[in-house]
Amino acid sequence: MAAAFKTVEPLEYYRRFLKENCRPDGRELGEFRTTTVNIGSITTADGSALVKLGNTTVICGVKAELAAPAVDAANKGYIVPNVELPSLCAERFRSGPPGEEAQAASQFIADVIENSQMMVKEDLCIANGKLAWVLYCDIICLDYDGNLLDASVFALLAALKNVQLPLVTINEETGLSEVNLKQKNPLIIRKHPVATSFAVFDDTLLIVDPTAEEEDLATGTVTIVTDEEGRLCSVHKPVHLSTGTISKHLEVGKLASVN
Amino acid sequence: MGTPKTGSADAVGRAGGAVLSQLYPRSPIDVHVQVLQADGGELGASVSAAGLALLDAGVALRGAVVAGSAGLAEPPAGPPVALSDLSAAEEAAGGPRLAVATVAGSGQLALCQLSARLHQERLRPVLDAAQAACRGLHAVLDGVVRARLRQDTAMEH
Repeated sequence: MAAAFKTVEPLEYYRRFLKENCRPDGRELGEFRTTTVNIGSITTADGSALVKLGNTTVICGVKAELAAPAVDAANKGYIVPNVELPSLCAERFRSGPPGEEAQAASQFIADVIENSQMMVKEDLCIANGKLAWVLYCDIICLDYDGNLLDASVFALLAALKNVQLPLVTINEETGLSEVNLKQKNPLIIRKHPVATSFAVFDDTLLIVDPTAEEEDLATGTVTIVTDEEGRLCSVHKPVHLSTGTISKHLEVGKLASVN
Repeated sequence: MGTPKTGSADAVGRAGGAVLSQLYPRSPIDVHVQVLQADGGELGASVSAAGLALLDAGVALRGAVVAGSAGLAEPPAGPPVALSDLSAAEEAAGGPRLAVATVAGSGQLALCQLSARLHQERLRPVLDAAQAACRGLHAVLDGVVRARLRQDTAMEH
């Protein structure tokens, strides 16, 4: 009976739960799903982390390579994030070139890295104008059940904290770089941004950590990124919302990042 | 992580040779494989994973599909030695590499792919080494599948 109602009127079915301030999976409106992290599982990568937010599973692998810095940024290295949504993570994704959601997620991660200043690109420079580190951060979703952005930011941060970079020096006589694999140092992570995503229902009600079903029923999603000092790093709002609703989001976002 | 290797999709499709496709007329079965960490034998691992995923999906198969690889080491003194399940370093050494997939219970090969040259007389020992790798892997996977079935259905056999 309930299953038939859910198929015919999914939004009404969902609203019945919202009226009682809970959700079909038993969570409260401000409750996150069980989160697990596994760090360093990919030994061929320089740093890696696997994050599970409920069923949503995201893995991040970081590979460090050497390159010449850009001409207009001679003292900076590079951080290149890429989010992939392969066809195995959800039926909605087809194989082929990256779709809209993957591209938007990649850009979002790049913005978070830049705005939060979690890493300073000058720290990745080895020799001004000659040699710098490039960190390729590959984020792959293995199971999509909503809230890709929170899981991706978390996986990226955990993977970067797992990275150990060998010491690189430039031989003054030959001008060639020498890599010392025996002496490794962790990356300097200055800030720890945390993303909190909300699904918006009926333009006013906000639900934290939406599942894929909830995302499909919602009128939109909002993602807020804050750092450990409670400062706002980024607001990702691809939907029309009033400023009052945004302030409510910020409060819950700050609480989530403290946790 | 990176661009897919050509030819590997075709090889994984060989695992599909074990599917009883006459039971699924006009129905495509899509198999997606993602390699998370590469340390040699990715083709074999992909085929084995695809076979296990087909089992998990409940697709009717002729038999469980497992794959393994084997190569040949030629030490400076003594006869050449067949090696089962090559690691990345052993693959990079440049010797012949034979990838084999077996369909358990039928004695048939779903895949038999050789790269680099191998003398005819050496084929038998290398093929035996590859099939030994497959048998070993099948023993492990079979145990896991049965234990899971027992758990899911509370059946005795």
